[in-house]
Amino acid sequence: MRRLFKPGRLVLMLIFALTTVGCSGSATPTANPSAAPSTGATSPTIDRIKQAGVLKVGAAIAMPVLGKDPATNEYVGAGTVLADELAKSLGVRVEYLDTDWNVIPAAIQSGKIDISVAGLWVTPTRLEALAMTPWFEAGFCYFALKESTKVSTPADINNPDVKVATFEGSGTYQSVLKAYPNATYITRPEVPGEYSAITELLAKKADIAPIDSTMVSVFLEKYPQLKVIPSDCSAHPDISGWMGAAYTKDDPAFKTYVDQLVKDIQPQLDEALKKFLESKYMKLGM
Amino acid sequence: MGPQAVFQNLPFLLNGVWVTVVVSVVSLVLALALGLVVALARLSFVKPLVWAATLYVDFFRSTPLFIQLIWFFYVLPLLTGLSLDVFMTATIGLAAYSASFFAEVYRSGILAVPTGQREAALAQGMTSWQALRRVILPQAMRKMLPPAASTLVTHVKDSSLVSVIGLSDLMYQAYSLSAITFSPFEVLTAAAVLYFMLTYPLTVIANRLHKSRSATA
Repeated sequence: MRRLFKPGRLVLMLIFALTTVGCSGSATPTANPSAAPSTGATSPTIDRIKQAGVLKVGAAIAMPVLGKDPATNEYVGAGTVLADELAKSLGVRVEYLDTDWNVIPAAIQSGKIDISVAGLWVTPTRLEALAMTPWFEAGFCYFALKESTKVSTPADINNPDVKVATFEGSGTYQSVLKAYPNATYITRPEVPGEYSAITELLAKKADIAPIDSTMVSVFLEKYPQLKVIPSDCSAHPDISGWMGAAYTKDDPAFKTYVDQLVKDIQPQLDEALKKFLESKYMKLGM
Repeated sequence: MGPQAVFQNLPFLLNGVWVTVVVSVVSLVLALALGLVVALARLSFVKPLVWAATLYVDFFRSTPLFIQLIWFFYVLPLLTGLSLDVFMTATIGLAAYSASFFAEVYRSGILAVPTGQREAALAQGMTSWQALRRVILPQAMRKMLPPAASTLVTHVKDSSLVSVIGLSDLMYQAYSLSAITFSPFEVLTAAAVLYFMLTYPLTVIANRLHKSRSATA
């Protein structure tokens, strides 16, 4: 009993633990601030970021926007360019905070993060809770089993006989439901890394499964038993929409700032997206 | 195809194993200490202490750890301005939750010691604290060990929930690796195997303690 509860040992263990594992996240060195867009108005978010000296960025993993290199534990993806440029323009460093998709709004509202650069679809539902700055356009493609003939074009989806498997609460579900309200939807929580409810297709419990157009080629290579609808979907996806960064909607001046910054660096973001789509990070599971 | 995602990136998952071990051990130490305090409070003669301890146990055992962690990390800063980092939140949250279970293990162990033991100790001139420390707790420990070992196994498995607030434990690393390799089922299977390797030795110990207690009974 005496040995079990020696306070000194408890203190040493706690000190050891706290010095070996701390906050998750990584930081980049402060860069010289480039000419920053002017807000024309006071932004409490920007003031807070500058006072703290750090831009806290929420990191929900989904390539090609944001991922983690398993070899180096560093964050990669087109979203890191946005984070780096925003931090540079404010004269602060970047600190990533790992987040789950479900808690991004909570993380923003509680001030745990200043911005999320994860690939979030800009949807009316999300805009009720968050401000968003769109920065890349994509759309949806639909996987089906090669032998399936029920759906040949996206227009065929809008039929109660067509079962669509997708993820509850996702931007994909919200957008596809809006476009094709008559289909029958089978939804469930997404397991990270799935990107599309392919298991339901393979188990023949659904007829189609939507996926973001940027991920089509990766999954067609992984699942040769699937086909994509429409066949030229990568070039001409269905229901084009925008993905963007999310942050508090209580600071219009910050929105103005981020909108302007994205406009200024859009060519860099487009280049980064193209680079990461063709990078080794899209082949890690092959 | 898929299993390569695991074998090529094993160090990434093992980093998560290390975080799981650290957060489990640190929160366990806190939970064991806090659980004893709560148990003694429930057994005290001071009514407000009994009520407070009972409320603590009932609250933490009746609400999901998932919600508690989200609340501590995201809601507490909004209400109080107190913002803890992710490791502190995970450790304290997990400790507070498990302490409620350990408190009941301690309490049942102490209550299983015949009351005559305490009376005899007091009759020998010991104070209540000396009687507790030298007579009651040593006997109670033998009775507590089997259920405490089972609670410990559950504690380690519950640590996987700290991933919801973004602590890079084994579960979070598995989620990240799934998302970047597009191989969720292979990676999550590997995570399950790693959790099994962490908890199976504890399960074996718990089973042996249960058996030895049944034999002596």
